[in-house]
Amino acid sequence: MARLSKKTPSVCTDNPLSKSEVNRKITLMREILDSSFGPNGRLKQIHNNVGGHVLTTSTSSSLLQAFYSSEPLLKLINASILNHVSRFSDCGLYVGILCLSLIKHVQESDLRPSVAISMNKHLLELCTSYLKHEDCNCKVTIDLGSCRSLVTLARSVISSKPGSMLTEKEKQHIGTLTVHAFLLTVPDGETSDTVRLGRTVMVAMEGQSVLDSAVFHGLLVDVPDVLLHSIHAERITLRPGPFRLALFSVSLSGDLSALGKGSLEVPSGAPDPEDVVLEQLLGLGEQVVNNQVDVFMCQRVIHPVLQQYLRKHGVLVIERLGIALIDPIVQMTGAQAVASYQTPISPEAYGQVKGICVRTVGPRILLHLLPPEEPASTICTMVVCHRNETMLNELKSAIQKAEHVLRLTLRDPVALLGGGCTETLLAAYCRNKGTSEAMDASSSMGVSRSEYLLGLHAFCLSLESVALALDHDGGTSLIDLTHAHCWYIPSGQAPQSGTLPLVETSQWGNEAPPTCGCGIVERRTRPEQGMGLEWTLLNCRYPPFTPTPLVGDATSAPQPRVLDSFTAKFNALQVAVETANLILGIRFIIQDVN
Amino acid sequence: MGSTIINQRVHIGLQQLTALGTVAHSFLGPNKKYKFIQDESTGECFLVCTCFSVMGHLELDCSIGQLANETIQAHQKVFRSGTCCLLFLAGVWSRAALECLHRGISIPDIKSAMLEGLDMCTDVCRSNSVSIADAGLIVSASDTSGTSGSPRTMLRRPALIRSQGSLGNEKHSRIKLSHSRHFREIDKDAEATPQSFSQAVNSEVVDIPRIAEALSHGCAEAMSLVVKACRLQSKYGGRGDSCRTFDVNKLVTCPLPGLSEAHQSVLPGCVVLLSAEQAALVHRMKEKSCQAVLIDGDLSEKYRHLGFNKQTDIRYVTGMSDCKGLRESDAWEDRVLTILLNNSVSLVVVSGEASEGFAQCCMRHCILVVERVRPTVLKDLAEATGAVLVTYATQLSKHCVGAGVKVSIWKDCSGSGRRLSTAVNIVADGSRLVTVVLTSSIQGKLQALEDQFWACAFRLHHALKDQKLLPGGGMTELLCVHHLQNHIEGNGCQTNGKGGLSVPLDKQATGGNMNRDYVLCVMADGWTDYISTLMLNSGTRSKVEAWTTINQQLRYLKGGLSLDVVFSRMLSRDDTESGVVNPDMSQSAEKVYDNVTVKLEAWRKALDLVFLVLQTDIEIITGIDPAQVESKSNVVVL
Repeated sequence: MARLSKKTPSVCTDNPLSKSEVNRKITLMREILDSSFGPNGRLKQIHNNVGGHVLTTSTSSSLLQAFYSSEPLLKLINASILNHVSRFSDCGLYVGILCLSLIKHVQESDLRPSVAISMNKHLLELCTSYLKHEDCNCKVTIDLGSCRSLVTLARSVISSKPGSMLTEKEKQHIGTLTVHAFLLTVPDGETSDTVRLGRTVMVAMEGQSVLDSAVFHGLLVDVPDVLLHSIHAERITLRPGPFRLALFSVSLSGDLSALGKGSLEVPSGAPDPEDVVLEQLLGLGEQVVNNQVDVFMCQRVIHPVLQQYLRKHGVLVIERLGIALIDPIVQMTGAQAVASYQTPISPEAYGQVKGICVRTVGPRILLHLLPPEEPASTICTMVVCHRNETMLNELKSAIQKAEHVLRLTLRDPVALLGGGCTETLLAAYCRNKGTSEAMDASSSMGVSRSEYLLGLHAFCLSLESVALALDHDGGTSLIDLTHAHCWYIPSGQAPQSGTLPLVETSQWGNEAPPTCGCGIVERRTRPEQGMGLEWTLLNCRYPPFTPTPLVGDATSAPQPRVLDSFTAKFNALQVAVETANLILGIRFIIQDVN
Repeated sequence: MGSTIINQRVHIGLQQLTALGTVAHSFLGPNKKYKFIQDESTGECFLVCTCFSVMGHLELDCSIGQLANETIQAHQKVFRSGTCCLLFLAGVWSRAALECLHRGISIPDIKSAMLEGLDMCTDVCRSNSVSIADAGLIVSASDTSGTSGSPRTMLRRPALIRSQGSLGNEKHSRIKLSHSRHFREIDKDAEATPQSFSQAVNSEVVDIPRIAEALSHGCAEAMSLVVKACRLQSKYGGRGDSCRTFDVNKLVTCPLPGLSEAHQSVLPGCVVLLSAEQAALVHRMKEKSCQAVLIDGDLSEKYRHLGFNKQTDIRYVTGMSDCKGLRESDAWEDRVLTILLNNSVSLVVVSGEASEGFAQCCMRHCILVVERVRPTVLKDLAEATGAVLVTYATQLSKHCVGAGVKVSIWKDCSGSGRRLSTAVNIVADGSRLVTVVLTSSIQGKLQALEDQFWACAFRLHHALKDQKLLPGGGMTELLCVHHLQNHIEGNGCQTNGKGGLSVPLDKQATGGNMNRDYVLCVMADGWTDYISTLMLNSGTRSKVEAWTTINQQLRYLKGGLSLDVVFSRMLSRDDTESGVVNPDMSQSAEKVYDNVTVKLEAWRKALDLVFLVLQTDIEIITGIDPAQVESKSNVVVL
C-alpha cells in the first residue's frame, strides 16, 4: 500500500483558444510552418538534447514527426497534417498554414465560434465546387501524351524543398529523371483488368555530383569486393542470359534461430544440431545445382560452407539483400521468396533475369540485374547522388513525394497553378461570389449580413496569407485586378511603401515583375481590354471583381512554370478547413496529468 | 517525457561557423603546427595536426559543429586531403554572408551571387590547370623504352583505362565493367581488365618523383616514403627500378611505436608483429618459399561466422558410461592439423584471433600462425597466391592452398618490452602490396605521421588520376580574386554608362547589381584572407603586410603583368619594385602544385555548408524538461 500514491484529478481547461499561453504556442507553430514554406523557405535543425544526429529539413513530414508538443491542440493539428501527408505526400505545410491562419483570423474578427464554423463550411463548399467545375481558372489539364507538364509538375515539387540546394540545371535533370522513372513503372500495353503500378527503388550515393544521378531499368544490388575476383562468376558473365534465379527469405546461416527461444537437450550419440542443419543446407545446395540455378540470393546470411559449395559449381551467390529488395525482386523476376530450406524447392519458385552486368558508381560496385523481356517489367532503380548527407536525404524525400504526386495525376490528369496564384484566384472568386450573394446566403444560414461579411473576409484573408507565406525575404506581394494572379517583387526593387493608397495602380506599372507566380500571365498584356494590368498589395482590401480567364490561343500562351498537384491540394484545403473548424469548436480540454 | 524547445537564431549559426573556421588557420600551408586536445573528464590527450582529426576529437555540442564535422569527415573519406581548405573557406565565407545580411541583402540574392562567383572561379581554375606535361614533369623521351608511340600520343590516351596488365592475369576472370561515372559501356577495344578497377594508374611518361615533390606541401619525409613505395610497386610490377606505376589501394601503413623516426621504411608485402617463439620459427623458414592458407575469421573451434546467432541454451546429456574423455576441441584441432600437414602448409594467416592451444600445437609442427591481419592484406594475398579465402578451417582443401609466400624477420624490437616484439615481413610472389612502416619515439605522434602519409599518397594519386595540376601556394586563389575583381568592375562600367535603360532582364534594377557586386567582393576577400594566412604561416610576412602585398600584386596583374612574375614577386622577401627576385624563392614557389578535383570539391562543399547554415533559421531541441531552461533568453517552449 505504501507504493500507491494519490491520483491527481484531471485538469479541465475551458475555452482553450482564449488562453494566452495556448495562443502563444499556436502563433509560434504558425511562424515555424510559415518560414519553411516554399522554394525559398528556411531550414530547421532538429536534434535531441543529449546529442545524436542533427536533422536539417524544411519538409512537414520530417519536421512534425521529429518534434513533439505537449499542447493538445497542437497535437491535433500535427496529427491531421501527418495524416494528410501520409496519404498525399504534398501540401503538408499548406494544411498547417491555412488551418492556423483561419483560426487566427476568426479570432481577430471576434465572430462567435458557431457562426465562424458554419461560414467556413459554406465557403469551403463554394471553393470545392469551383475547383471541380470545368471552367475553373486555376486548373490546367495535364496532357499525358507529352512529358512537358509532367516534368514541370515534378520539378515544382522538387524545387519546393530548399534543403536539397539544387541549381536550375540540376532541378531540371532530377525532374526529368523522376518522370522517366515514373514512366518506367507504368505497365505497357493491355494487361489484365487490374493495372498495378511498379516500383522505383532508390539507391543513395553520397559524395557525387547531382548530375551523376541516373535511372536504370531493373535492379541494382550491392556486392562485396570478394565476389568480383571470384573465378566462378565467369560462368555467369560469359554466357548470355536468361539466368535462373532462386530467392530465399529465411536465414541460411546454419543457426537454430528459426526454432525460437528455449533450451535444447542433446542426448549422447545424437549428432550435433549444427551439423544436421549444415547437412540440410548442403542438400539444398545440391538441389539448386541440379536444377541449374545460376543466381542464388538470400535476404539474410548464407553459411560460408554453402557459399563455397555453390561457387565451386559456378553459381553466383548474393547474401544480405535486406527486406526492402525482396518485393521488387519478386515482382521483377517472378521468383517466390522461399521460406524454408528443409523442404525441396518447387519449380515455380524460380525466377528469371535477362542478364547481369557490373556497374561502378563512384566508389561502389553494384550488380545490375536486367529484367526479363516477358512479362514487361515495371521495376526500375534510381541512383540519387548528392554531395552531402543532409542534402541527399532532402532530395530523396523530395523525389519520393514527386513520384507520389505523379501517380496521383494518373487518376486526375489535372494540375493547379502554383506560385500562390491558385490561392489568390480562389480568394478573389470567394470575395466576389460571397459579396454578391450576401443577402440571400446570410438569411438562409441564419446569420446577420455583417457577420457573413466578416466571416468571408476572414476566410479570404487566410487564403491570401498562404500566398503571402511564399515570401521570406521582405519583398512585396501583389495581386492583379484582372486575372487575380499573384505577383512578387523582390525586396530592394519596390518603391518604399509609406502610405500607399489602397488601389494605386500607376506606381506598380514599371516595377512589377515580368510574370506572375505561376508564369502564365505576362506583364505586357494585350491592351485589347482597353488598359494594361493593375495591381494592388495583397494584404489590402480591394473591391470584389470577377477574375477573368486568359484569352488567346493555347499555342502562343506561355506554359505555367510552377504547378501543384490537384488531388493533394484539394484534399489539403478540405483538411485544413475541417481541422480549423474542429479547433474553433472545442470548448473544454480535459487532461489526465498522472 | 520531454517537451520541445525552440531556439530562435539570429544567424548565430553563421557566427558559430565563422568561429569554427578559425580552427583551420594554423593548419594552412606547409608549416603545420601541432595541437594538443585534452579531454578534461578522462585526462586523455591527443596530438593532432590536421583539420579533420581536430574536428573528430572535439566534442562539439552545437548543431552547426556537428554539421561541419559531418561535411569534413565525408570529404576526408573520399579525398583524404583538402579538409583544411574546406573549413577555412567555410569560415571566411560565412563571415562574408553575415556582412551581406547586415547590409540588408536578401538570402536568395546572396546565394545566387555566391554561386555565380564560385562557378566563375571554377571555370578559371579549369582553364588554368596545368597538365602534367606542360608543368615539365615528364621524363624525357629517351627514357621511355619499350613503349609504343611517341610520348605525346601516350599522354593523350586516358591513362586510367589502359593498364598494361603487368601482373599475372591468369587467375582473374574477365568481368565486363562499365567503368565511367556516367554509366557508359566501354567499347570492346578499350575493354577494361579487372586490374583497372583497382585504380592502378599507369603513367608511362610521367615523372612521379618530381610530381611528388611538387605536391609534398611541406611533408617532405612523408612524400619521400610515398615515392619509395611507388618505386617498390613498380619494381614488383615488373617495370624495373623506375617509378612508373602508383596504386594507392595497394598501400598499407604499419605504425610501430618505440623506434626513432630514422627507422621509417618501405617494405614489400605486409608486416606483422610476432612473439619471440614465433620469431624463432621464422628464422627456420627464412628464404624458403612456403605454402599458405587464409582464414577470414577466428581460428578456433568455437568461432562461428558473422550472422550466425549462437544458441546459448544447448545442453549435452551423456550417459554415465559415456566418458570418452575427448573434448570436442581436441577433435577439431586434430582434424585441422591433419589437413594442414597433408597439404604441406607452413603458414596460416588469420584475420581474427587464433586459439592459444592450437597456435602452440601448430608451432610444434613448424606451422606459423599469424593472427589479426587486415582484410585488405588478406585479399591481396589471396589474389597473389591463388589461395581461396575461407571462413572455417574445416573448409580447407588442396584447392584452397596458395604458394609462393616468403617470410623473413625485419626487425627485432625486443627492447620495447611488449610481448609481440619482432616485426616480420610476409611477401607473396607477384603481389604489389607495399607496407610503409612508420615509426616514432613519441607514440602520440604516430597517428599524425600516418595522417600526413596518407594525405601525401592521395594527393599523388589524385594528381595522376586527373592528369592535371593547379598552381599552388595561393597562385590559383590570386587568379580567382583577380577575375572576380575584373568582373565586378566590368559590370560597374556597364551600368554607369547606359543609365539602366536597356539593361537585360536579369539585371533589372541597379540595386540588385550593386548587391551582387558587394557579395562577389566579400567572397573575393575570403580568398585573399586565405592567401594572406598562407603567407603568414610560411613565415614570410605578417598579416597586414600580406594583405598590402596581395593588393599591390593584384594591381600589377590588372596592369597586365604575367601571373608568374607577379606571384614570384609576391613571395620574395625583398619586396622591391624593381623586380629583382631571389631566384631560389621563385624556383621553389613555382614548384608547388595542388590537385584540381580535390580543391574544387572542397570549395563546393564549403559553399554548401555555408548555404545550409545561412538558410537555417530555427533550431528545435527535443527531450528537454521545460523547467530547466526558463532562464535562457532566446529559447521558447513549445
